[in-house]
Amino acid sequence: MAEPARRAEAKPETSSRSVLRRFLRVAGPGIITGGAENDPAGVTTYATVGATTGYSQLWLLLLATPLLIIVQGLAARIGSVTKLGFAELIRNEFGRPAAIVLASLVVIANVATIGADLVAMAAVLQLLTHLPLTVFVVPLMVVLGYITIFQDYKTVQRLLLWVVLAFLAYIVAGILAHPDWSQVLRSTVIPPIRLKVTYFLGAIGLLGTTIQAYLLYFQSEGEREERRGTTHSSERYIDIASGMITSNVVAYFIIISTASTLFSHHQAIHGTADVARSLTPVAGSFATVLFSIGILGAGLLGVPVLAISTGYILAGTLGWRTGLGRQAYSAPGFYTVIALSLLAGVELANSHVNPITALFYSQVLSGLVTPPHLVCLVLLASRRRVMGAFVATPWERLGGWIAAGVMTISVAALVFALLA
Amino acid sequence: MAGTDVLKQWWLKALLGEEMSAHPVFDRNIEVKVDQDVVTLSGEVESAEEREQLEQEARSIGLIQSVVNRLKVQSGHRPERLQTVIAIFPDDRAAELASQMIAGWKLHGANVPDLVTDVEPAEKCLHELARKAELPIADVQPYIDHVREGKTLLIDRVPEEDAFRVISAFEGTEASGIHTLPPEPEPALMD
Repeated sequence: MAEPARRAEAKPETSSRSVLRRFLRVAGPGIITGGAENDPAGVTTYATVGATTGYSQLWLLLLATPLLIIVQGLAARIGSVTKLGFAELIRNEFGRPAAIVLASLVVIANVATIGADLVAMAAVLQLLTHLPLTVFVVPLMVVLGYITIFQDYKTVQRLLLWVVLAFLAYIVAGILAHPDWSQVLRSTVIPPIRLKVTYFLGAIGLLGTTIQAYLLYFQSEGEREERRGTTHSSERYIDIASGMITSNVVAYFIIISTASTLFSHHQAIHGTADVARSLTPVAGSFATVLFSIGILGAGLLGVPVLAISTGYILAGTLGWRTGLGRQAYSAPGFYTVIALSLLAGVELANSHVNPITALFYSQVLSGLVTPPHLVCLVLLASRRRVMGAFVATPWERLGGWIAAGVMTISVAALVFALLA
Repeated sequence: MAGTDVLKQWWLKALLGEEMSAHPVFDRNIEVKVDQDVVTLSGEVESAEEREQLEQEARSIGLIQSVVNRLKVQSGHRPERLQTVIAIFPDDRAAELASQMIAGWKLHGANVPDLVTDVEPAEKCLHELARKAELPIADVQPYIDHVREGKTLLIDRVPEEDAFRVISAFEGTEASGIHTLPPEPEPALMD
């Protein structure tokens, strides 16, 4: 159909476009999961950590980044080797009851986070438009539901990739907050541990929002959606490493922005919009608008990933058909779970739970359910029966166990701090 | 959003016979022929994944009934590993139906999945597959136990990239469990 001569005209490409195309080919679930980590709940957790503990937990992000790359890499590895999702593998290898218990815990945490995210997005729209918050919750759910249920996987993925750009707003907001860079650097490399409940709550919230169980499900299923087998391991690691590093750099700047403004001026946070609003006196109204745009972008990325993950988790555990590549009629259980998780989130958002409390504790809950998932993940990736010659390397296994250990110690430290 | 629009525009133009430029993401020229409501894709692509994705994109435009995918994976590219997919069925009737469906869909050339109802053939087949996947024989014993309990296995050894499609196809059947053996470490050059 296309004439050779006319084809030839189309061949020359500028190198920047070519690089972008190559990146778009490699970009997949790693970039998306990295971006989804910084959903409004994540942003608020990081902002709260900055506002309540200053720069003192920046070192945790430095520690969490390689661990995050390793655990997401393990999740991707089990997906690409077995061609099955994390939920199916847990059911196959550890039994249906264990799979149901683990899945239920993550689903509860996911629904709580969806509700909290919707409230956060509505609160920011309220800040920008001065209309009541409740006006926005249902329309937001409709938009997010449309994107998630009625668009195919590739379309959703490409849309989400562009939304990641909104996160640059946080980096600019962090710089506008004029931080004390020498103190920032010191706190990044030297852990200033404090024996206070707020410190441990912040630490588990931060780790809980960085290393999350639902992202493990999303990553392994994402490899299936991408149909990436064992011959694509280099693409997989570029995708994951770029996603996780970007995500944690953004988190780093969110903490810096609130530590430099709210912590320094002893201001408390009572709502997500407060974070954005309170930046105005010290960092200018532009910082507030940027932060608000970041929250909206974060919700557009994070809520679909949460809802889709919930679908993967429940459908995979119960043996239903899954996959964004399928039409809704072909995987009704999967899409029904996605729709119900969004509706449950709306119900939660319309209840009278304090949004900042819901956001923060949903992340703490995520932190609590993550250690058993990490243990299952490392066991699966180490199991020769499952992985054959593609079993995780000793370094990957060590990294996975360290991640599981760090998360378990954080949970234990939190319980100890609450009881003391 | 802009990226999605560009892709949709490209496909719409390609279906109308107006598109002459390279595909916006894969940066390669593919031929798109339309005959009534059937679209035929041809040309060379870099991987089976790319071949699959282009077919999915063509389908997602929604103006056509079916897509004939004649895209060829460039020779000299990554050889594919083989992998075994095992689906467990409550009886041989359900397994037979699934086998016919998969054979009809021509997911991977002329291959037809093996239907295993007796212990002895199950042992012979699975021991051989375990050897190819470099697994101890004990690791496939649970599947043989299923046969011993009266269940039927549908065993499909396919190129790794096709394993995704076979699993998706099995998910729509009465299979009570879907498992895979790890990919065979030695890659095989496929047709």
